[in-house]
Amino acid sequence: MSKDKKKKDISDKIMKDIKAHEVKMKPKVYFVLGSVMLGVSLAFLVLFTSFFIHLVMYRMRIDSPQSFLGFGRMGLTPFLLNFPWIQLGLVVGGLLIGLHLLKRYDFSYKKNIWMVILVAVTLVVTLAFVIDSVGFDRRFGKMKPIGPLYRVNQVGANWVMGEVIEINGEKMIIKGVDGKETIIIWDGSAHVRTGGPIEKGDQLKMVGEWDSEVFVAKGIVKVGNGRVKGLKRVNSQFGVQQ
Amino acid sequence: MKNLKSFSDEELAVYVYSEEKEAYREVVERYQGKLLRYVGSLVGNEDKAEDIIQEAFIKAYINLRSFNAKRKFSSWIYRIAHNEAINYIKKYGRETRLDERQAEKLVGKSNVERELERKEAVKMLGKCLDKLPVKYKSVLVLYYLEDYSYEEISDILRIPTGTVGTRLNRGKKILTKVCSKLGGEKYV
Repeated sequence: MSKDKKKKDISDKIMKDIKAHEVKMKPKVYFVLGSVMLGVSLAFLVLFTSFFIHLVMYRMRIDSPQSFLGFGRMGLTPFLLNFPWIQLGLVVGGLLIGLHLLKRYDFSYKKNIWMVILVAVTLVVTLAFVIDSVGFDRRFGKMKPIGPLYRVNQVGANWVMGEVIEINGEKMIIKGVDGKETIIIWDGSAHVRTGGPIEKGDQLKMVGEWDSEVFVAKGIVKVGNGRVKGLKRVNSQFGVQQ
Repeated sequence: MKNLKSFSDEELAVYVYSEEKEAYREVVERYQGKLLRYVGSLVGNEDKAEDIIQEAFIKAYINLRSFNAKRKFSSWIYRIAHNEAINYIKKYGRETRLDERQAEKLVGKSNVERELERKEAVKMLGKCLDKLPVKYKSVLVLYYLEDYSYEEISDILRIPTGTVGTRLNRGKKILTKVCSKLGGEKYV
């Protein structure tokens, strides 16, 4: 078969399908709606990612899981369990999906991809700082379904945190965000990093082990260092009686 | 029907979706040869290339209303054909082999002057290109065979113009190395 004949066959076949209405052109509105949906999805993703960056910042500031690391190996588990992995994962996921969507826009390939990433990350981080600075957590922290995202995991298999409400020698009682009181005991071998005597009202984090209902502390650290009264803020935010 | 030959590609595309579907035949006739050559060089099998461009023309027709008439129609339709070819290669691999006419054009651009060596050079270049990754090969073919500019290649492959230049240079270097290994360094 000659090349010209083949060429004719291609156009004939295509036009035959078109005329038989087996192939139909998509309407303009389909593409307009597609662009609108893409824009809306991107805007949503920017807000979503910024909100979760704010949550990571909040948890790192208020919950400060990194303070457990000062206890060495014993602090590793509470650090890993208190670190906002899910929020961080959602941030990374949001950024990746957002960049994937951005690549669907015609302009994206004409720009340096690293510049696009830099602009996108700067935008969401800036927005996260704005959300953080306007006190979003105080306004919406009690609302469902956002509220639970701000809650701190105050009691675990080998850690506990809360505010000191009573202290007597090497025994004290602390109260958590949920209002639950816990008896704490420790001895001279405990690693105490409180920068002074423990007093009523101090916000403490402890690692150790449970002996029935009593927590035997092996390490105690004061949170907030007098600068950010993290747990106190959480307690007041969620309406726990001081 | 109007005299379609006088229409630019962009005017023709708008005319097809706004007035006369039958005019799409003119689009197909204008591009089937070029696309067959391009896709053929990527997949290395003319029959498969024909199926691929047929599919590309159908997709182009379905999505014709998404074409922005302010942009170049050729880049748009090459992009569709390129995607179809890449999908095919991902699925079935490639049997890359340039036909003699294509290879001769490349050899011509490489300034191989001696006619006696020409046939051998064409054969060797075909072998060398056969070994090249698609991302370099597509740029080389579009630039040297299809005479597209950096800007147009950037639009077709959706890569920055700087990357087009980089791939072109690297492509040529790889081509030289590959040819050297195959004993044909004097042809490139």
